[in-house]
Amino acid sequence: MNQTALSSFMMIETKVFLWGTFGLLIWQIFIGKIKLRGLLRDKERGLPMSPARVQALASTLGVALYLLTQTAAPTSETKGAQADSKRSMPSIPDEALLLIGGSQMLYLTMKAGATAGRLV
Amino acid sequence: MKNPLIPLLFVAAAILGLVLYLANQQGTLAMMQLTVGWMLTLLIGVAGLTILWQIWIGKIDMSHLFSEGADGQASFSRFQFFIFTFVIAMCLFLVVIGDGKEPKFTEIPSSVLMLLGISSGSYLVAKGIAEKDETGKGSDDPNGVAPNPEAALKIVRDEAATQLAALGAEKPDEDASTKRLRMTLKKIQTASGAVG
Repeated sequence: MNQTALSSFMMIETKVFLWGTFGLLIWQIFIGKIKLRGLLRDKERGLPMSPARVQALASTLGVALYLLTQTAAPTSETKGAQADSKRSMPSIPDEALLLIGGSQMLYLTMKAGATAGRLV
Repeated sequence: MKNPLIPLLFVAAAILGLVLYLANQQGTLAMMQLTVGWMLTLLIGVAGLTILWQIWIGKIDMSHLFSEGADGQASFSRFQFFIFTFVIAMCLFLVVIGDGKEPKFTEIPSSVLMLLGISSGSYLVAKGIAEKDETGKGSDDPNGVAPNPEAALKIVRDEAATQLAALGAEKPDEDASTKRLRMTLKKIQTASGAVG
């Protein structure tokens, strides 16, 4: 029972917890226990679909997938930067940050505009 | 204690500690560190497993993880906040364990922190807008006070009574406009009383 065994056990434990949580959440979404009803619905205007939400969802999933793929299999561009500091989290390009920031801003502006229009 | 797993966990951790201690009767510092490390790891592991188990059996209700508001519909801001938090946590973990030989904590780039900031900021702003919407819904008052018909009728009735009192007692030589005003106020008083 040395230090290596302890760190291996810790890794297994963390993997089980993270993947277990992830699996449970996916499963509960799949069977409909975690409700996603109304995720893309325009609640402020009462429309079945909101374009602002759809584009925000697309950019969210895009950036999240980019981050995951860069961590799992870094491209040649990011590989060099990662090799410099041995092992580090992949950095997100400014364009991606601007995309997600702009997308969220649009979504919030539409939401705030609809809410203000209804309240006035 | 309702959960029998928790006392069992403490007993297991104590037994493990004793076994490790007896395994090295010298009781060196390295051995103590290892013992404490194992005990904490087991404790956290069992806590994690308990959480997973309770989610599985439905004792920890996750059904409203993305829901917000009285109608219980999913909130986009919550959803994106969750996605980013989870993905960044996963990435950090993958990077920290690396090839599994030598786990080492790593530096988090500022762009990742910025992404997390955008995500949480967006969630907070959306929540603020939703709260404002909930407060002001169905109200004509710009301050967002919910309307109360009973109170409104009482105000009208009281105002009519005040105006009538200000006019004073009915006089035979009153002009036509005062008579009309008196009649209107009486009608308002009667109507608001009848409706209320």
